[in-house]
Amino acid sequence: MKPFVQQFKFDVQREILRNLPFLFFSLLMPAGFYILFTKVMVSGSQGEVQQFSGSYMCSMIVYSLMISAFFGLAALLQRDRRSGYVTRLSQTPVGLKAYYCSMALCVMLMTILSTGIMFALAVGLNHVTLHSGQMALLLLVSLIGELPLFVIGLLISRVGREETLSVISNLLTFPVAIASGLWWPMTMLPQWLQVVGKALPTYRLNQLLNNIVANQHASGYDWLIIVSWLAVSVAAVLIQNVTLRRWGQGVTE
Amino acid sequence: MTEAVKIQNLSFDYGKQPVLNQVNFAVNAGEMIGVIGENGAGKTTLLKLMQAQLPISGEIAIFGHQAQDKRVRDWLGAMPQGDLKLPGVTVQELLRNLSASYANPANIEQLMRDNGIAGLRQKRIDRLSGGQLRRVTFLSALVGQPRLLFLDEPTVGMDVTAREKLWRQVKQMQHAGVTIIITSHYLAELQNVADRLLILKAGQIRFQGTFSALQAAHVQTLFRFTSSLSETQLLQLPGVQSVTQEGGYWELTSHDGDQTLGALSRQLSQVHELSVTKQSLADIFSEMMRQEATK
Repeated sequence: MKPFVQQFKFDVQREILRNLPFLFFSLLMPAGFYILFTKVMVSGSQGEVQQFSGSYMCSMIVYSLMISAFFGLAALLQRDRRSGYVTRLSQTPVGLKAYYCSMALCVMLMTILSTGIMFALAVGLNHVTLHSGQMALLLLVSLIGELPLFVIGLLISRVGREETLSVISNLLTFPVAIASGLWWPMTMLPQWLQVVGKALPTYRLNQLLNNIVANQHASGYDWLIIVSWLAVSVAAVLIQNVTLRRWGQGVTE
Repeated sequence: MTEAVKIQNLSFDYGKQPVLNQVNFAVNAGEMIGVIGENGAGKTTLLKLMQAQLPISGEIAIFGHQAQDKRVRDWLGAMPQGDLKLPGVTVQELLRNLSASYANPANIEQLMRDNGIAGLRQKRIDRLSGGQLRRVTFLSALVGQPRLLFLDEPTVGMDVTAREKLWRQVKQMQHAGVTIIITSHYLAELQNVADRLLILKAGQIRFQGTFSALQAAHVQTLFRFTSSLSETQLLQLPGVQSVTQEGGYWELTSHDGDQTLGALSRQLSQVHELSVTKQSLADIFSEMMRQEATK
């Protein structure tokens, strides 16, 4: 337990408290977009605006999680690997277990921070009605629904070069955000892109969150798609583990 | 004597590219071994395998336990070729973080003091100079108080003073009973500190033994002088292997320096500006690599 506690304190300090890119891109940027699109560039009746504020909060939560996974976590993992830190930890008696558990907890902490900020803005600024049960459920669904995103973040973190990762992160984040209808309504997209978008875990997670805000039942199909993405991405990581270990380009457990 | 490391029939390849081929050797507890080889000879791979960082084909025992046994990790310390360039953390934080994983960690404050980096404890890792970073990477290998220490090119990027300091510390650790395996391109350094040498070429061990044994097997003495003696006369001197002339000087190589010197001294009136050099480890190593390449 002591190595894990030590690792978690160490990681929170370097990955959250001293990590300006995370604070800016994962927390401030989605919050800024939220304020911009719900307070400045918004039109319609009060009811429509309030409904949009609730729905856009869900979109920005998903967007924030996606940024944390594809930019934040992927870059952190790559940096730890490239700096030799992961190799050094793997040589210790504890190995990488404490590191990966701590990473998972850090990711949860990042999610709590992202969703917390969006709740505060939605309720405090836009008077969206959210009771504590809804908030807890939104947080829980976010924590589970983000899993495929973070596994994909882990997958892309294993590319060799920093520049390549940056390109992949950009190529993933922005098209996925658009295709999932996080930035503007899906109905504005071409038909074929709507089909693609609806197959993405980010769209499905957004749907689940919207259902909670609208007090509607969750769709089993949304969960099915998310779990399918999780299964595929975990399988890809396992295959990658075997390959990396065999070819000696990385240390995995 | 207890064996710290025993390797039997160890092979490794990256796909179709063989790296190590049927390697066998043993290291006694408390010994310091220098591993030499050209780039790509398999030195780093060998160190990684001893730490079970790659899949092992063959047998590696560390203090009588299989290298894959997780208990073994408590006894090992490793300084990699690359530095621990972890941004966003201080020297003290990094060393504390790593030491928390060991059953019997070193006192970090003491460790930093003993190694003259106590003044760097609050400095961020990404703001250290190359030499300081190398020193911190070295300390990161000591946080678990290892019984077996791997040093992969430990002095790269260090200035002369820092190198001397590091080798002094390594020697002290050996005196305290730590077994040490070092790879280095600074062959003269290994010549000074290692008890035994292990020369790797194309994934196989070409030599293992003491430096004296290596000298006895491969040494050449080089003579350089001006003389009116002819090439034929010089070739007839005892022990002489080759005679070349460069810039007005004769250059002789001999496998029996004493005999050749004795013969030359009998003709001192015809020999001027004589200099005699015994081959260094670097010379012997280069010669061995050349011989292997021409086989």
